[in-house]
Amino acid sequence: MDKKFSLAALKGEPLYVVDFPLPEGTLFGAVLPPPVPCGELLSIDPSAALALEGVKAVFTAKDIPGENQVNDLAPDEPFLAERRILHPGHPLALVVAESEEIARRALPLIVVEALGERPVFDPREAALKGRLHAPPEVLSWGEPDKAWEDSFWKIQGRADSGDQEHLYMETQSALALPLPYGGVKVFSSTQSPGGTQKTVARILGLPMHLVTVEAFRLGGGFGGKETNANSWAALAALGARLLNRPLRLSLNRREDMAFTGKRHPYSTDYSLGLDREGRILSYRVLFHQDGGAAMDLSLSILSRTLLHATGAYRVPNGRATGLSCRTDHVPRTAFRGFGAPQAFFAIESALFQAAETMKVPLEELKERNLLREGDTLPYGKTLGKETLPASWKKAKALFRWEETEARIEEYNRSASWSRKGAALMPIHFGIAFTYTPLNQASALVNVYTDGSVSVSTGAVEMGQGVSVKISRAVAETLGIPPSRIRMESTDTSRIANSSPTAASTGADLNGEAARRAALLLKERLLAVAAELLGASPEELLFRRGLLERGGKKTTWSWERVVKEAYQKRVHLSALVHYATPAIWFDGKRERGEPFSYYVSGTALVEVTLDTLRGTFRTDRFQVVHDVGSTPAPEVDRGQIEGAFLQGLGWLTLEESRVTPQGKMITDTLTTYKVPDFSSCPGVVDVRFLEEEEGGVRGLLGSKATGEPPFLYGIAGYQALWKAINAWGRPQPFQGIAPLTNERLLNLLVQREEGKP
Amino acid sequence: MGISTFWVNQRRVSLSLSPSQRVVDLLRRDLSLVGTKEGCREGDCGACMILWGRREGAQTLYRSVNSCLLPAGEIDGSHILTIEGLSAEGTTPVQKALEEAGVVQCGFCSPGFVVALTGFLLNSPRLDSSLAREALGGNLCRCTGYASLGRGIEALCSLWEKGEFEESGRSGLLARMEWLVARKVLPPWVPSLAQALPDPPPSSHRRGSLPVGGATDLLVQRETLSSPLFLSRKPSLQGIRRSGEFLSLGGGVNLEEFRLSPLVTDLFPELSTALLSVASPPIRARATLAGNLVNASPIGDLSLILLSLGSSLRLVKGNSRRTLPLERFFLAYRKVDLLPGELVERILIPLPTEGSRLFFEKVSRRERLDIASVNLSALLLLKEGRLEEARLAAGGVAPVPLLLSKTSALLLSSPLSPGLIREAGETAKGEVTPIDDVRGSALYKTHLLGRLVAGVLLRLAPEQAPLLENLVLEEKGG
Repeated sequence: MDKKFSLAALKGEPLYVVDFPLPEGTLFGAVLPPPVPCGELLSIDPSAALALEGVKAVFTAKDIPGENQVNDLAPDEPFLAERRILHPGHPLALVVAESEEIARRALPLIVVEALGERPVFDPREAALKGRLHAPPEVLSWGEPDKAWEDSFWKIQGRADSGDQEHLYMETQSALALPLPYGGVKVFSSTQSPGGTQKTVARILGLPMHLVTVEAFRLGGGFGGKETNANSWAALAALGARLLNRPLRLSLNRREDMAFTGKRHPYSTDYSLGLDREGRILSYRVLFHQDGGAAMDLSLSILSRTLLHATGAYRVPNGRATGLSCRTDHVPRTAFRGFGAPQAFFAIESALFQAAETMKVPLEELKERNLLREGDTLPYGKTLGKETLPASWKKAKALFRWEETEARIEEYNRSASWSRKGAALMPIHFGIAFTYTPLNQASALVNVYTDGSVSVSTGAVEMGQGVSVKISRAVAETLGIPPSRIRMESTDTSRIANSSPTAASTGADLNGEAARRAALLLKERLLAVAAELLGASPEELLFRRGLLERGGKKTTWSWERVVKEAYQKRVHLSALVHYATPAIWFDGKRERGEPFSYYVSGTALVEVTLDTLRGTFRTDRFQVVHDVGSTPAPEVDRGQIEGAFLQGLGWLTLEESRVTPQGKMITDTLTTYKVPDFSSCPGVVDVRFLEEEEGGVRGLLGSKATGEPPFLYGIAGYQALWKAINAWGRPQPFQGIAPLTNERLLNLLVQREEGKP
Repeated sequence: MGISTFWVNQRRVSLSLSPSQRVVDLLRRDLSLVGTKEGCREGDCGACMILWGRREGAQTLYRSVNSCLLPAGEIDGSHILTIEGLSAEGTTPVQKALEEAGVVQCGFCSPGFVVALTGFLLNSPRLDSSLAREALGGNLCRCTGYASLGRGIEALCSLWEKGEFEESGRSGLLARMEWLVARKVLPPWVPSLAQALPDPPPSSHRRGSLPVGGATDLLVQRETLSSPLFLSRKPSLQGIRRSGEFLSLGGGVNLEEFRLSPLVTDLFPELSTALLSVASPPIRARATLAGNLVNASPIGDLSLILLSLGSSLRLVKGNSRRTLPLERFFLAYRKVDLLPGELVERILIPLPTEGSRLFFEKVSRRERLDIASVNLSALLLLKEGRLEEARLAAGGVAPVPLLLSKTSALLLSSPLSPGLIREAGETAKGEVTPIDDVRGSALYKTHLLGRLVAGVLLRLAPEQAPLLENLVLEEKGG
């Protein structure tokens, strides 16, 4: 991480939205949730709330000047409930008051009449009722049904994975300022300033150029502020515009956990056919995605699920069907991995079950089916040279897989009330937005006359280190120290039409645009220097802020050349657009090259299960992971370690609970648990794959790291299952997550009693 | 409302404060010190952590506490050190170590980690990375950067000679402070300020006031406290002492005092580790034993521990006092035998029989900083293969913290054997009436209780573990 930023953060200096000094006269908002999980809204009477001293206004759907719609693609999510209450987090009204306390105190005074309906929270039930966000998406390749018939081993089962609360430490927050000519400026904790701007403009009925959205560093996002930031920004903007006063809206933790979307639970049916030797012949899979009450990003997420349905394995024939089920939950949204973790969870579960049925080691089965050069992926892409086989081989050797297996076997023979398990897991994750148009970015690089440089891009920094990577790329390109570069906030008036910072593409897209902008500036400056020195530009370069000619230092510094360039009226700013080349996807045929490259790696996770208490510890997480030639190894290390543990949290610890009436009972940190220091394995060992591979990569030959390592959590899940299976009488595998302590104990008791 | 005078970093502040205002709001809104972050407002994330110094009896103590759960009524005469104060003289070695380990991702939790580790350096007897990790038990990082934090801690703990660090703490907190000032962990003005702190003003008792211990649960349950009476400043409720055949604990004693008191740990060595799973360090520094009892949560960890120890309570109202065995204090769900205005003055633990041992078991969704699904405490005396004393209490399995009297009696009936352990588990299951809730289903809790009963017995007699395993796996497994 950027040393300057890191130190500032450790001193508490960065300002998140709720830390900004407030302009005189700022008002505060609070959001009214519905009294029923879903149903018909009959009336809202705010008079008692308005009578409370300090309350300035209560706004409902009828006060919206523009379109009452959150969704950009299809009008299925009214912003403030009008006649339908869609879900338990659907805002009904915004209360504006002189303080947050007063605004929240006013909420229960608003009288709402509504007719509640029995909510549907189970995606399979929704599917049976035909409640889908779109027709089923089907990705089919080869001859899946015939191959199934031909299979020697026929494995059928079900995999269920749960939701996950983002729990970014900074809750959803926005500060809106009314601007002249009817405009509005919004400081928002958003991963997508462009998307937020568009939503605010639509709801306020303003042209986009009257809405500016600016995002400083976020206190975490993980996908939860990709579309989910928009409503709160729009509410703040609505109040600010209607009252012509600055307005801050910040959800408290309880509200944030109850009102905002989470990761999609999936309930998946699979049939995996293998030949006698364990080579996969056919994989047919039906995903029931719990999309929640409105589609949000569910369809894009489902697409990524289908594209990753085969995990890191060679599957010659298959059919993946995705149903985006319209349940009555708060609309599910993006979360690190974006549908790929659910896909991997399903095929990894199928393989686990297959290994059990076939009585072969799981890792042997994985190795036999590992993707390699020349294999064709379900959507017709033929793989070039891939780092996946190398990562597998290295992980096995470096982390002494065979010794591990033997040691664990011995342990499980001799230990009492304790069992161990370990698993190796390969990943293969495509990088790019699956919706091709999003794969573009712009960057604005300004060189000031003192030689300092500011860089604006569409990327939002939220802890993933994108600003470090971009600033290093610019510094390297210009030949100046990183200390001369300031990474700017992300502002829609500086960078228009930016894509969300998501899909792990932040550094690749925005960094490449910034690098090209820097390249342009360098060329301009070297031309000036060449003229001054009577040299040709090719002889010249900047290194650590000094001009070199033919490899030798000159007396010219970067700053001096910049000053001269200004005097010569050379343009010291560059705005450059970049679009990822060579990617395309034909959604109708489900064929194409949706990704610019793949990220691979192999992890080993070992756990120890306390078979008396039904609790476990993760002993080690070791991984060989391909980051390409990274400009920021420390950033990547943090991303890999953090993503793994977050992934393990998803599969073993984190669980939201909603009552049948739709009340979220896990809306606090007391009731919803995420990994803490005690969850961190004793041994964490991240190795970068040091392969001099060619092929396409991202920024400066690096590879994206944000999402892929999240998948390694599944290795922990499988290790835990192996430990369970080492206890008592064998029982069939159930692909169910999270494996909470309660589930663990139930599984152990089943194995003692010899019955499910 | 009254004028309170206190110190924030280097600055003396006099303000009219509502006693139930939370210090996090005071810092962020009134004093514009926004380096202290608010992540959850219920003491679970540590983003709002501060170092809180105040005079307690003869000594001045600085503890890491969650400012979201600290009522402003407590801070008169005290010193608050925030991240801004700690950073006032430049980068500290704590910050440097964490920066170099690449700890910072989104940065929101970072100030809390710095405060917690600084608190560790102030208070720890040893420069030991496992103790430092424990000190971060109340800090969450959702970027989940714990591995890098672990590396930062290792670096921090190898910065100085261990002996030197330990030596610096031997003659009290001020000496340690000076030592840390010399190493730029603390700004130079801290020790003199610490020394000059006045005694906190006594709390005033008005009719109908709400007794407040550490407020660590009250401020989670409600947004404000009306007319609070702060027990931490009532001298009669303080202190841990031997008194005849009892260990006498003041109703205002907090969990950390209890955990670290040599009087306690000499008698019950297991407690200092067991209490780590009860609450995080900043909560332990505030939550009181009596608060845990009066709160009457059916899964109150301390309630069980004290029940299994055979404790009784001395209750006081005005000048009238009465003593009550703890098991009679819990009447029904969240209902205790306490008159309006009556306080828990002392908790009396009978001195244990020579050779008896205390065991505490707790299973929660997450190992640390979580509320139990089921918890169990047992005081056991084993002699020649037979239990001579057994007193088990369980939580999460009944409307009140429950003494398992049948199970306890059964354990005395025959020599300890896998069969007896198993029967004890089954007996315990028959004594309880758990319900389905967010901590688990009734069935799960029932199973878990039986296994925790086995857990304490196996810890007492580890040689029984393989025998019990064989019994369990072979009997039905065949």
